[in-house]
Amino acid sequence: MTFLYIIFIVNAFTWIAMYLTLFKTSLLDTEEDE
Amino acid sequence: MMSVAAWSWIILILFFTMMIFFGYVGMKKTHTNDDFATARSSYGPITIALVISAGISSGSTFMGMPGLAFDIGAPSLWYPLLYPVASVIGMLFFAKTIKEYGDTLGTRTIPEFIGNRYNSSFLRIILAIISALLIFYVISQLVAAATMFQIMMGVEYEVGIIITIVVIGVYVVMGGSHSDILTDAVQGLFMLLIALIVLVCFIFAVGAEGGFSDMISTIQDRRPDGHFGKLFIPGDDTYGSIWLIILLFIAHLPFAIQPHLGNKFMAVKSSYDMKKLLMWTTIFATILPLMGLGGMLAISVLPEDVGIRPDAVIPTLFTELFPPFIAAFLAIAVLSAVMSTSDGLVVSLTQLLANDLFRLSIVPKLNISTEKADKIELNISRYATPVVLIIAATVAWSPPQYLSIFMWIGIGGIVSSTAGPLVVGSLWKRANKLSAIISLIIGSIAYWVIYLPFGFNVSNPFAAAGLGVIISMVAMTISVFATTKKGENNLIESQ
Repeated sequence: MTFLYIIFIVNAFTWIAMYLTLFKTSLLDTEEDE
Repeated sequence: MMSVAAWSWIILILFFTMMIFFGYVGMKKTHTNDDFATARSSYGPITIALVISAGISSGSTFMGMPGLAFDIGAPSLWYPLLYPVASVIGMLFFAKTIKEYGDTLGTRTIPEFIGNRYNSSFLRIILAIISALLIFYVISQLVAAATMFQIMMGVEYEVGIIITIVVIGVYVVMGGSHSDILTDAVQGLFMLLIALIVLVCFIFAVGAEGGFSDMISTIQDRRPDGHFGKLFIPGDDTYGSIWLIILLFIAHLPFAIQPHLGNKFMAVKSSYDMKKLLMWTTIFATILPLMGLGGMLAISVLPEDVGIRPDAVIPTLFTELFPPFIAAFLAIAVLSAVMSTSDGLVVSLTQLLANDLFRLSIVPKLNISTEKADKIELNISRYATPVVLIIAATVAWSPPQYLSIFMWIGIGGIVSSTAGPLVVGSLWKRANKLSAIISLIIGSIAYWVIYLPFGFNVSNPFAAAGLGVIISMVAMTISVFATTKKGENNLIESQ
């Protein structure tokens, strides 16, 4: 089952990390956001 | 009762009709070569996210990878698990910049974008030449399509290739990027649907004896070296150790910079949509490769002595589990995966000629009006489309064994050459033209030397490309330190 847990964790982590990076940091802010 | 093949034909004809219709809609939107090359600022973030996700997932996602999972077991799932994750992380580095350059400088292709970023025709031309290697990617997609036709519909391999290139050729000639995007969005939806069906089947162990835990036990019995408790295959060139897996991940960081994917960032309506675009892409792109779990499910569902080639596992599984009408939809999903990657590749390959060579290198030397030049560019784009497809079809006539490995001949060259100039260059204003040239040359040569038989002959393209990416980025960093001063700004402003 180890690999199944890895698949779940990696995908969940990616979704959350991308959400936080995109919407809670200024990395992809445009002038319109500012 | 009608067979899977009969249903497949009916659905396929409807599907092809729909694609040609979108080709026609695309044609109505295509007035200039800029429309053909980029469909600039025309579509919303969810549409483009579907297009990019479908483009990242190729024919091998739907046939090759589940086949490999069925054949060698769980450790092969590292590939479908990590390539979308690395790809979307990579997009954070360059998606916004590509869009801004497109909006302000009218950039149409990725080679042109790099040329503009560093104010270098040399970089543009070299990258355009390297991008021509994407023809290998088209070839691998045609092989996947023809294999699908062979397995699911009993059509001769060569006939499958011809059907595929004719349909793609017709709608790309008509509407270029507009047709590419419209068809890919629909194809992406089909693919998403099938991937979700496979995921649900896996979770509920559909077709396996007993429940989920029984399925896991059966997989363990039948694949003692490849069940879910095994993370690596000792001694394997691709899945042998954590280091090889890390290289596989690194190799895919610049994956979305390939010309047929990178140019899609220019098609989204506004820079303001970029966050939504990347979020939706993350969701769609990570769901599609879960198709690999279908290969694991098949280990417990199909008889041990089934005796099929690995690529045939998903079609065989669908025929086993579903009534013909539903099983037939798989043919559409596989074709969608193939076509959504191939059409974008074909558009990009035509732009190497129409944009990167003719518009940017030849037109400035000719004494012709912009309107006339644009007309010629559009004609080059349209005439080059069947030429590219015929060349790819000719090579695809003799199929290679594993699709996903074959296409890396071309992709590895591109990611290795662009990693330094793009990933490092997008983060560092100090990055200059000379460093980008040095990095591009060292990265690409390193990849070929590591990968090709006359060099180190590393047969694993992910490891070779991963090393190529690292070497390219290190070369870029060292070169920037060596050739520029602290605080220097070499960014060619897009605004």
